[in-house]
Amino acid sequence: MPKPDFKGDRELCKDFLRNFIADNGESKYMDMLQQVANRKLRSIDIELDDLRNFEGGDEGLVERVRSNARRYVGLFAEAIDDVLPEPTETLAGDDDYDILMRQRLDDTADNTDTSDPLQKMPPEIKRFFEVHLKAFVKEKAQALREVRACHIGQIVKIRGIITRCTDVKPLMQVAVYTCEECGFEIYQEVTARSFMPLLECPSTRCRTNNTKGQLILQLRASKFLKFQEAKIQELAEHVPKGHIPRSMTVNIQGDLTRKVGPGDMVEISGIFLPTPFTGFRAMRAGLVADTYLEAMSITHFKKRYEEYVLRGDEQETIEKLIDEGDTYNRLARSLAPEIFGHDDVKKALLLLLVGAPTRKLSDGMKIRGDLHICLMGDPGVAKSQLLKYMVNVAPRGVYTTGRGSSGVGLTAAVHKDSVTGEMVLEGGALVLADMGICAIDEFDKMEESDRTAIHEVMEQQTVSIAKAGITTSLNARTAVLAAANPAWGRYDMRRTPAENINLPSALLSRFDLMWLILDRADMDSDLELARHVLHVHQKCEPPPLGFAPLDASILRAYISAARKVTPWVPRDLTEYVATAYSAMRQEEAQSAAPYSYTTARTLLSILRISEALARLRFSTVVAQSDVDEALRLMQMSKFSLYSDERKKSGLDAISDIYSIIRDEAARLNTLDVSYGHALNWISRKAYTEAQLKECLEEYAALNVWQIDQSTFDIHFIDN
Amino acid sequence: MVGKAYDCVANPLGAVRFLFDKVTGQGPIDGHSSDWGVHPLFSKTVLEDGALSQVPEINAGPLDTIPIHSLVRFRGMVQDMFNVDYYVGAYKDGDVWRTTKYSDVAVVPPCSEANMRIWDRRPLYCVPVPGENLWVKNAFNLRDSQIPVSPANGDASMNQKRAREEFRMNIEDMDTDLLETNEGPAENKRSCRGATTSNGEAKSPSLEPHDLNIPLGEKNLVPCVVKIYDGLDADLKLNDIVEFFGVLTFDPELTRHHAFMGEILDGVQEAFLDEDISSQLPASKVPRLHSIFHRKLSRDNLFRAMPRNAPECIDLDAFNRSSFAELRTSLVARLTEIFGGDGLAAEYLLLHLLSRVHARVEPMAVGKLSLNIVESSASREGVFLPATMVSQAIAALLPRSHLMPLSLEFLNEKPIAPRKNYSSNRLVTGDLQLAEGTHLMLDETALKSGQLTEIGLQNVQFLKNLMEWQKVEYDFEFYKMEMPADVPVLVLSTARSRLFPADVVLPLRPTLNFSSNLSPDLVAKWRTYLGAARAGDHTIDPSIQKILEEDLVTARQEDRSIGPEVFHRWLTMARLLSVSYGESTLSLERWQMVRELERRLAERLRVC
Repeated sequence: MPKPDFKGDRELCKDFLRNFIADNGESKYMDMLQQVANRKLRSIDIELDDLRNFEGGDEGLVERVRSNARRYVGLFAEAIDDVLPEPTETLAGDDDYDILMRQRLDDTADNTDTSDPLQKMPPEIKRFFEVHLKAFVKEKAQALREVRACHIGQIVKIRGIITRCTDVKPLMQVAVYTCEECGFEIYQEVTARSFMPLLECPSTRCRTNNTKGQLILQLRASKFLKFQEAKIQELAEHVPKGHIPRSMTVNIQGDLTRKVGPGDMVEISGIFLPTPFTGFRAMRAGLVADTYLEAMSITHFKKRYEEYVLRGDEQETIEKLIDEGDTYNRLARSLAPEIFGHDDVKKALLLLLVGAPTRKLSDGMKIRGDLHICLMGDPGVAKSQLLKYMVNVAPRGVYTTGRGSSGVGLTAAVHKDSVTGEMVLEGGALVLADMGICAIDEFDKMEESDRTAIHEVMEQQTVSIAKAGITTSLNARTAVLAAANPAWGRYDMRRTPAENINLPSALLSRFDLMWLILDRADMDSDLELARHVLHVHQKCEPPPLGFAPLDASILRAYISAARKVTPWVPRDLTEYVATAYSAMRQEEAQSAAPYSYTTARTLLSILRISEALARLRFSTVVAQSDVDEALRLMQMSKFSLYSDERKKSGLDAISDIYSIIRDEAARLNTLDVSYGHALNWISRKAYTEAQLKECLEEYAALNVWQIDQSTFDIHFIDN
Repeated sequence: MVGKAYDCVANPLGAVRFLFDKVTGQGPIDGHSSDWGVHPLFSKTVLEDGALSQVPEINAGPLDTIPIHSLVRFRGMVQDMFNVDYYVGAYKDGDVWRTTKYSDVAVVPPCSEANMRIWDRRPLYCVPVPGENLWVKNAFNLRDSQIPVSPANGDASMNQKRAREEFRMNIEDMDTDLLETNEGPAENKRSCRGATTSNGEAKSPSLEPHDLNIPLGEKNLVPCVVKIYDGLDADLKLNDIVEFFGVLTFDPELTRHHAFMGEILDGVQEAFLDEDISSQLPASKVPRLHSIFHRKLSRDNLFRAMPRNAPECIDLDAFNRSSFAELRTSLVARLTEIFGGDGLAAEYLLLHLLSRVHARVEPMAVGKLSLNIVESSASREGVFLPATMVSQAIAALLPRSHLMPLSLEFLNEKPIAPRKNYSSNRLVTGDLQLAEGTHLMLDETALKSGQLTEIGLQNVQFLKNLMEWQKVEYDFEFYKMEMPADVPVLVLSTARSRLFPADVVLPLRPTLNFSSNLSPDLVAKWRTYLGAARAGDHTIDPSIQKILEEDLVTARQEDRSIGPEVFHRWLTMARLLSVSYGESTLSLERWQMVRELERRLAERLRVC
């Protein structure tokens, strides 16, 4: 190994600081240094990216800096000492530091005894800046367990969760003593956590006179550094199955202190260093070395969609996904892929993740954009698993059960602090899930009083508190995903839907989608189930999905990108939505036992779902197809009931499709119906394209209508 | 081999040094620690050349009779994984490189960074296997007592002498130790037991400040800090049962430093996050083992891994189908006696004992079969099946088992799932930190009505999750981590357990008195039988698949209450029934037997 040329490298550092030109044409570091000289800035961040760009492809210096970072922090500091410009502004007021410095400079000027190394002022004491090296921005953060002995001395970038941290304490960097005999200032640099104070004056004068001058530590003259120690632990997703998360000590100094608290998810880049042996540990030196990470930069993780910044590769993946098409289905199926079937439920849940933009009207009224969904179904249809999965896939999600959480646990509580005796406000699950998802299992088993608290959250998206002298309202902009069992445990077909769905209508109307998942007896699904179970036991793996599910991280990235879009409804579509809504109202009026309560809220729901669908397409305009899909989902949510009902009324699918098309044609007073329109109408009633084709053929054979051979458009034969 | 310049058993460090010198003699040393052929040499010597029984096991044996720096083995469960240890692995002493690998203390002369290599190793905290039954312990603890003196043995003892000189060992001590072990297994056991109890007494007063985290409240067992080199820990997971072979170190001087440091640094430790784990685990209580190689003891190779002279070590290959069926019949007959003549209960218990999670299809654990034996008071006045009797029978048959009496006090006492303590940076164990295949019996009859605290409620939830998903949630305060488990759970209750819903609910119908004496000659065979049957492989032939499919669908059409969980149960039982006969494919006959068992059970449940 060639001996490193530190002197030469220091010159390179100086050259870099003086001559680096950033992309915007400014000489970034000289500007920074000017600010430092003016005492406006304390920390100088030297970005390795800049260093690499400056060298123009030559990795020599960058690599040396990266792998021997501690040394080069020192070199950069020395280089800065040399190139630091004069302050351009007069400094406001002298503080202790300046007075001391001036005095010292006067002293050294007078002093001829400068040959004594201990009396020479160490450069650290003059510095009022800190040098931080910033790791490459593009570099991916490592898992904590990937950091090994070979990384010692290098810059590493890790992600983790802070588990403990100490108070900020002063750490002595340079100890200054004065000698009682000779009056000299003596400096001692401290590099470790503990140091052995000097006892005897080592100055030449004292030594030659053999006076053994006593030294007095001058706290005011010494230089201290803010110092904090923290423990960082691996994130749960980095821990391989069956292992314990590892942790690491992080030393935080200067301006970086007070940035973290326990529970914070952070990305830290720093220098991985062994602890210098001190005290009794030195006795067993060579045995075990403690290591720590000297923090160079700390960034908090983004926990919300709004703050999510796409990485380059994620952007590519999303673009690729869009190119491949069918994203809506693929994304939906990738939600909880191990849960078999339930395609439409998953679509609805995907839309819940995406949501619609929140509208703020000019008069200050807010219309929520978050979708609320309630899953109701027989026991054992994997509701809870769906809920748990959703909480995991959302960047911010809270899972709670209706029974386990009282009204306080869901909304907010006022506590008396045991130490200060003050009243403090503590957010419940719904407040914690602000800007995220709140999954509430066993919604039906909730106390009546607790449910009322949810009313406000679901429409106004706030939690109001008037307790113990505190009147306030907290934000709870959360999408509520609830799961409930029917009133008698299982859905009772002999009773009306309202009786089965044991929730007050005021609450029900707040859900955009109320999904009924019933476990119905039919041969096909039973056979499917039997096959599924058999496959699991035979092959010890779930049956092949027939597609490769997308990774949760990609899902998250896609959704966060989609959430940035704000779609609007074009004027020509408003009419369409209005007619669809009035049709729904009419249908409900005709029906003896309605499944749902169609209100103005339903209209908003249709718009919300349509907007979410437009977002998924990254389109700023809501298309008719979005509205149709929204209507279809609303219809599908009651499908398991609906198909039964139809059987009772004696209508088979084919004749029902016919009557739909006929009614619609009569409404529009036309004889010609395009295939596209027909498909839209019937899909709203949850029929399939195959059934439509069958219907077309059957009725064409009866000479009811004519079918265009190429476009499948319908022309009614007028008789 | 070259005239044996080293002896792996008595002086393993000498052997390491020898190999190290051989490698470093050839060229400069690189930044990474490498193996220098140590690992293959030791595993060959111990496992293939039959030195296994010469290697003392430190699990139960008195530590003070085992020479420091000799090769020992330790069998334990990985309970906690500490942070990586960085140590100066090699340094230049003059012109010669020296290594400190596999040792605790080395006086490294102060030298520049260029002449020093920092390597890493991984300390694991291992505890004696929780719930391990006595017969397994005894089988493993056998030393070279019954091995005929071979030339290799003589060689070893000669080398041991050399080792003794090197390590200041008392020759007399060693010889008496050798003599003792030569006297026979019975003698050996006695001396061990004596030693452990005396150890235990000595420990108990000073034990409080150091929480050794011994599982299930067992006393007199030695935990061990095992240090693993060269990333060999990659295949080790939490709760694995592993047999480590390595160098035993113990340095009283180091401990003294710690004690001293502890006193003066108490204040400092408050201020800084300086948790020196080794100061919490004094070497006097917890031996250190520098693992050279290890082997996992899964339930499939447990019997094979036992020293050859153990009575349990029956040649598995001699097992054939007819002997399988024979043993099965005798075992079921035995279990029937335990249950007072209830043959159905015996059949179900056998299937339950054979069950294991053989696959995970998220979120399901395929292959588990939890059993709830209901002994209603109506069945027979006043005569209850004692839980201890069942647990004793299970303990005699399975390698690991644990009886958990579910009293209110127990449930409310402390969390039974492990949790992280950040102030000591260690995992605090709970009763549910069990190795795979440990049988857990819950005695709900001990439960009285009363109030469950928050902890109690949590514990009930832990047990429920374990039964339903075979997972235990470990609490890391900032997040929870689900650890997969494989613990067959048997619940004994007086009425169908609502707290702990099991896969099979079985009301007991005894006709005779309960009796529990197991014939010792057959017990060893039954153990091997259960071990072999559990490990058995099983497939469902496509030819029978069609029949099963139809059968399942018809069953569901007839009875809507038959859901997916019943399907899973039937197929699991079919598998277990087949392996209990030593068959590797499901036959129609076995399938019909399952349906018949289920029919009889359903009948019994209806009457209830």
